[in-house]
Amino acid sequence: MVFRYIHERVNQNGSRERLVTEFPQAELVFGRGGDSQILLTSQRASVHHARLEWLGGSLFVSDLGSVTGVRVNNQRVARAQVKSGDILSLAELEIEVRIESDIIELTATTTSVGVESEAQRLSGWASALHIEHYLPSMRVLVVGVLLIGLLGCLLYPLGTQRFDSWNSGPISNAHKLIEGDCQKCHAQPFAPVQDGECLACHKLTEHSKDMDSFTKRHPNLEVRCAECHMEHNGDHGLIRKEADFCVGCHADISKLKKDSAVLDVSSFSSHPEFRVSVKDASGRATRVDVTDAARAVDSTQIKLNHKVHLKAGLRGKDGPVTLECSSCHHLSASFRSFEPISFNKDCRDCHALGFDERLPDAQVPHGDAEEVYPALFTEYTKLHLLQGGRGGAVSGGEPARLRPGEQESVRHKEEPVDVGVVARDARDAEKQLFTKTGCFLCHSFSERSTQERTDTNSHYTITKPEIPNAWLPGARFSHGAHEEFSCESCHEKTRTSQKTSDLLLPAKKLCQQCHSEENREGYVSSGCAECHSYHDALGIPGEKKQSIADYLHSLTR
Amino acid sequence: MYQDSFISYKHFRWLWVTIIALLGCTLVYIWDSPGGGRNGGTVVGYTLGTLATVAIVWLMAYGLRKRAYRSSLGTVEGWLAAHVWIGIGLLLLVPLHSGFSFGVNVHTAAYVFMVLTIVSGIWGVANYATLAERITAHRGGAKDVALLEQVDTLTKQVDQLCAAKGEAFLRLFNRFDFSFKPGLRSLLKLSDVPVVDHTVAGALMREVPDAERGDALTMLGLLDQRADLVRRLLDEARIKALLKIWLYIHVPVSVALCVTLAVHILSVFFFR
Repeated sequence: MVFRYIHERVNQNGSRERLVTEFPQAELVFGRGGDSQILLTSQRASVHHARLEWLGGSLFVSDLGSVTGVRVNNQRVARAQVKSGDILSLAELEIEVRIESDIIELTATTTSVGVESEAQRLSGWASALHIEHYLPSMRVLVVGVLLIGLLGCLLYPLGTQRFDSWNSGPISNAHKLIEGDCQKCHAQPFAPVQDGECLACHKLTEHSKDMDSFTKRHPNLEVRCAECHMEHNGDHGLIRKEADFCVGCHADISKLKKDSAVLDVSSFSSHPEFRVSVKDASGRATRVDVTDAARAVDSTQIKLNHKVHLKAGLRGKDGPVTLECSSCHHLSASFRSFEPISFNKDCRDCHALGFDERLPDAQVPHGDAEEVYPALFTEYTKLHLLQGGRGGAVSGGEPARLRPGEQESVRHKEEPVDVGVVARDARDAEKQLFTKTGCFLCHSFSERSTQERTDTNSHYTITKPEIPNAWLPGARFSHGAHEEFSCESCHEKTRTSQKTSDLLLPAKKLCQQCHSEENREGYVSSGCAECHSYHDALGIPGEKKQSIADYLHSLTR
Repeated sequence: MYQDSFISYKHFRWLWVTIIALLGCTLVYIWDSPGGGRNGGTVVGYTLGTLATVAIVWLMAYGLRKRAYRSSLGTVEGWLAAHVWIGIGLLLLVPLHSGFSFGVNVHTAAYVFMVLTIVSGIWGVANYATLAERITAHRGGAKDVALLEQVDTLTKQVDQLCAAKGEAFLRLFNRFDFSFKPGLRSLLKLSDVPVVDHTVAGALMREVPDAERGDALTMLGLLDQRADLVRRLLDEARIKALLKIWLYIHVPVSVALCVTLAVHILSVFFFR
């Protein structure tokens, strides 16, 4: 059996030295004594410290009466068997044991730190009791953090022009397309966003025209777009809907603008009564409270009796009918307002414009009074032609059939119509329609003077009705959003209204049953923007508009 | 516990100053309702931000004041009291500045570093309040090296007693022996010192030959003494470590706060 003792020394510069000595014998003595095969230098080692011996195919270690003892895997032993992989500790030397078929390899690793005195060892241990021993110095930490911080937070964004980490808040949805291009709005570093940057994309709307005149009138105010339209707050703030924003001026608008057409308002509670535009005696439009019964009248030149129209079992085209509001008032496709009332769609079914029992299917056209007489003349000419052809009254209105080979013109020639008779009939029917039946039912008329009359024009004129499409055009109201309520819960007097002049609009107190200023408990929170809008984007001139492709191309993405 | 400490300095003067200042700031914050919502860019936002920046710069200056031994600019104790209370007050002042808006950006990073600085500071204060007394209790005036020498001597004495003893003696020894070398593991309480259990020791002692029993008893006594000494040494070292380690978070993180705060201020004025 051969003992191979490998002494591996790690030098201060990190290099390793291996000293291999082989002992072809069955036992090996460790100690400080000169007769030991392996010389121990530690002061903690004894003269004769330990003996390793190969006995009957096993390796044994014996303590030769040392002071500091012999340890196998950290257990102090007097004599014990050593197996491959065990760690043998003798004084300060640790030896790893590997037993192979005919060789016992003993590897001892020491670090060459020179001869360490007892005092040095103890002071080393004492410093190992302090946490600073394991940490980098505070100076290194501080400088490290400083450098990493400056590099990551300042130099990287400036160097790469990627300022994501500097973004103070989410950009509004409207500006998402230009999110990555800070310079699009922030043209100059350390300078506030100027109007020029905004107006580069947002061309002249009515609003910016107003702002233009406003800034010219108040040059001391230095109002910039970005002072009201604040970015980097997400969708909040870019277009401001808080009542405070409007009320800031509108609470005292009469002082700010002497000729203001609108009244002071500080909240929905103190909102002035809704006002409609009506024409006064001189024909000038004035705004009148909806509650002012004497002045707030519907001046539409149409005779309409809601009470009669809402009676049950009216005479309809195909029998009795009962009308609902929605029979005539159709919600528009946007579900907000109503389609304009149209005679052809909403009235003609019941109010057919017939004029002669002999012509039961004939009706005069609606829309232009001038077309009535020519239409009547044509109808009567046809009637008299047919009557002449048959020599009698035409029943059922069916035109007489032509004989095979016969031409209509031939028949006309054969039986000429008396134009005077036709004109007389047509004028009679015209008078009847304008002054008693058809037109007269809804419209007011005036008769033309003799000088104005010709043989072919209409002898009557109709006062053109002006039905407003929206009574309160300064406000938005969505009928669709209120669909769960019956029409009459807001338009209360409709069922009893007999005159066209009745203004059937609700007053503000009705809205205030559900709506109030912002954040009032139990009410729908309604700021100014709930009903009113600020912008009028229709003013954008056509030539400023561009195609989507051009727009995207203009973005530096 | 806080009797006469820097925390209760002059009847909690700086706590009251902080509370009153925060109350004022909170009222202004609530009173103000700027269009576009409350944020750091409003008049109130800028004002509170300036206040917070001044406070942070002043808090950082504590590091200089405590080293300026000749300074007569208030007592260090007073400075420390103000440092602690005003520092804690920033936890609310800064969100008031930003309108409680946070994001993934350098601005919120500054706030996070500030919170870490404050939390590590509170940990440090708590460590001082609970542990500082225990250090003096441990100290018998002896220095670490002197105590380590005693441990060494005891080890040598035990080693000597074990020399040329039988198997049973060594079994008893191995049961209660422990190797001791100070290191991070022992400092972090990852390794422990065994206690001499008298029942176990009694059972093992019965196997020891009569001739060796006297030495065995002495050895057990020495091992017990050594364990006690090592335990005291490590306990004290751990307390001292706790009294220092918080500063290794507090100071570098406060530097990170300063860097991110500077970039925060620069960036909001760069992109106005």
